[in-house]
Amino acid sequence: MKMKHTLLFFISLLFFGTYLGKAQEEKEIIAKDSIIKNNKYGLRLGIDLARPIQSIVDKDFSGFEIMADFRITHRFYIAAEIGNDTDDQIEENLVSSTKGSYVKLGLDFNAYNNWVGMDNAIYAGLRYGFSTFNQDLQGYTVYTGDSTFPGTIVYDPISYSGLNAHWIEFIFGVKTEVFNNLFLSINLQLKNKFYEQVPENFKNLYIPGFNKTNDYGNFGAGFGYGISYLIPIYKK
Amino acid sequence: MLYFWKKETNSNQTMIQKIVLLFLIVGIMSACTKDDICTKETRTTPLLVIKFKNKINPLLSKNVTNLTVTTIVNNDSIDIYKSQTTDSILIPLNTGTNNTEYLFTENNTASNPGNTDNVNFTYQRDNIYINRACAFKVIFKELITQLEIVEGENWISEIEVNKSTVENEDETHVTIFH
Repeated sequence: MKMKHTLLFFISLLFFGTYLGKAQEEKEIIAKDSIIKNNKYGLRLGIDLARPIQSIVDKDFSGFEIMADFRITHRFYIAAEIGNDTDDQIEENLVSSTKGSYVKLGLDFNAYNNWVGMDNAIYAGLRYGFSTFNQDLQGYTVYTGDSTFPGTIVYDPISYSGLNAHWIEFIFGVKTEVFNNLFLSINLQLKNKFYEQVPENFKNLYIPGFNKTNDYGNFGAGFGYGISYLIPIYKK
Repeated sequence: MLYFWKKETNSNQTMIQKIVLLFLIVGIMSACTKDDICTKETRTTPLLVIKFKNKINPLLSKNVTNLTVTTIVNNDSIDIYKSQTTDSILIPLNTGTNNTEYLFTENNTASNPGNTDNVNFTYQRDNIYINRACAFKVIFKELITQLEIVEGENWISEIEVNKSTVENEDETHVTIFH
């Protein structure tokens, strides 16, 4: 049993389509067997706990995020996150700070087969992410790699405002109902930005919602711990 | 039935526990990696490339015997080259000011002080962003050289600027005829 489920779980990650077909069959069986309408449909609202915790621990960061999802079918949810981040990038040769807001909108697919009355989720989702932000380059070193004239330090704050970035995000996580209608969740996010407004003679080192950028590609990553409450609207 | 039910929940719970643990590990790891180092291969602020050529036949390069190249930084003289016989050198320009002064001494050995010529390099600077780790570099523009003339004493006959913009070290920026 355990092996089968583990296997199914990984296969489901790789082949959504095929799994979807199977899920459909199971749903039909459930519908035949039980007369009780016990699947809660409604709006689930919550906050990300990782950001406030990081705000306390890390003096270079502050941020918060509100998350929401709305169940539309047995397995699909419309999901959105909205948030605000301030992050200081303190590097060896430069200091820059970013402040801005973001919105993420998309769908979640619950791959977990709940028993009647249970409402847990092992889910995967897709998001479109959008962020507007300002970036302040506070100071930097002119890098020479030479000992005769080592880098000059330049304190000349430059503000780049009205920047934006767009990305696609793959999200993967677990939601557990700890008390009636109260959920704890944990998720991992992989992001790929496809458009960004790059400041002249500089780069976006941090994008709210996308997190830290890197010099090697358009990929980003993130994680979240959520606490959320389901406002049940109807049962099906 | 009850037996199977129990087994089912147990296996599901351990799976959730494993996933949560995996996420915690990934979260902790991603929080404390600092992976950006400015590598030596990165093209940062370029050095000035100087070639020495024959004043009689300007097409031929000509070695300078026991060349010593010195600059003065905060009243300390620093030797970039010391008593080397060569026909090309790479020297740094000061990224904090718009001019750098160099002393070129030929035939400089332990027993012979040699002949010193004073050359002043004047330029404009542009700070250019490289990447997160290396931050910024300087490119030098509108490069001008000035040889201090000492009547009948100079070993350098002429200085020619080939590239007035110093962007990389792939090309010769200045040619010195002697």
